[in-house]
Amino acid sequence: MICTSDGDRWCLEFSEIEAQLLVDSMTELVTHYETAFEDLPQSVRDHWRGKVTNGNTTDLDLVEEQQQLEEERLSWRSARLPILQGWLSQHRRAGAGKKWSLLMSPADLELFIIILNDRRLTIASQFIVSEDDMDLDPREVEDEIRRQVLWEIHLLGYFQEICLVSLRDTHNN
Amino acid sequence: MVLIYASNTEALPEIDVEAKLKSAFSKGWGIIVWNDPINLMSYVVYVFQSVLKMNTQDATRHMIEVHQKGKSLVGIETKERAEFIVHHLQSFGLKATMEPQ
Repeated sequence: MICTSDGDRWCLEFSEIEAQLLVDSMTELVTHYETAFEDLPQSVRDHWRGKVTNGNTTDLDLVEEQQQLEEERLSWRSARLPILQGWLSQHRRAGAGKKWSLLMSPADLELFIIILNDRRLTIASQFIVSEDDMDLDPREVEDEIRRQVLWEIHLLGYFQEICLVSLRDTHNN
Repeated sequence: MVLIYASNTEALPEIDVEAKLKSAFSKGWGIIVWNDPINLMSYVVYVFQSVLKMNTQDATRHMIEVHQKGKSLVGIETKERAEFIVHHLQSFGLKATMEPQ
């Protein structure tokens, strides 16, 4: 993956295999975004509800703030869905099995990184991925599903890292 | 003018207005970012810079504190402002909460 800027727009270029892996992962995220909240696994529902405080909301007089946070967090999935669908439709137009380039504004690049993170966080919530799991070499994980989950989290992290390095380099220059 | 008082007026719950105002306007709410196994260190630094307008040095220091100590106090604000920042940090996927100081 290569991430470059011409000043106004960012260009993300993916090799054939990177494009396919990313599209597979993002297609799963579309399904996730489209899934009704009540049909999500409990751990994923907890992730999307979020917590405004680590303490007791009643004791801290934060009941209303917790409700507002939940409402806002639950709106993010539907807000991000059309953006993700737009990127995937660009891939379909470019043709499957080919290199893929995405042009986007700086704001959309940030959103791209956030959406990659959504996928990483939701599968981590679904499969209860721990700090110890993240330290494992995925090749040594026997369970096939967990192995795939760890590969996907690391791969999307690699894409995020490339974007972040490019953003930092551009900011420093 | 004749004022008529209703004899069966329901008693309103007692609200400590002064305490509510003090809580709302005093900078008594800490914004805490908690460690999690998924968010990249470089991403956390980026979010601190983007949302909290920290310089690279401060953002990195807080990220390391989150990683090593499990949490970092990244700001102390009014209740409303703390809530806004917590929402913003969470929109990036960070585990951020507000706690009374």
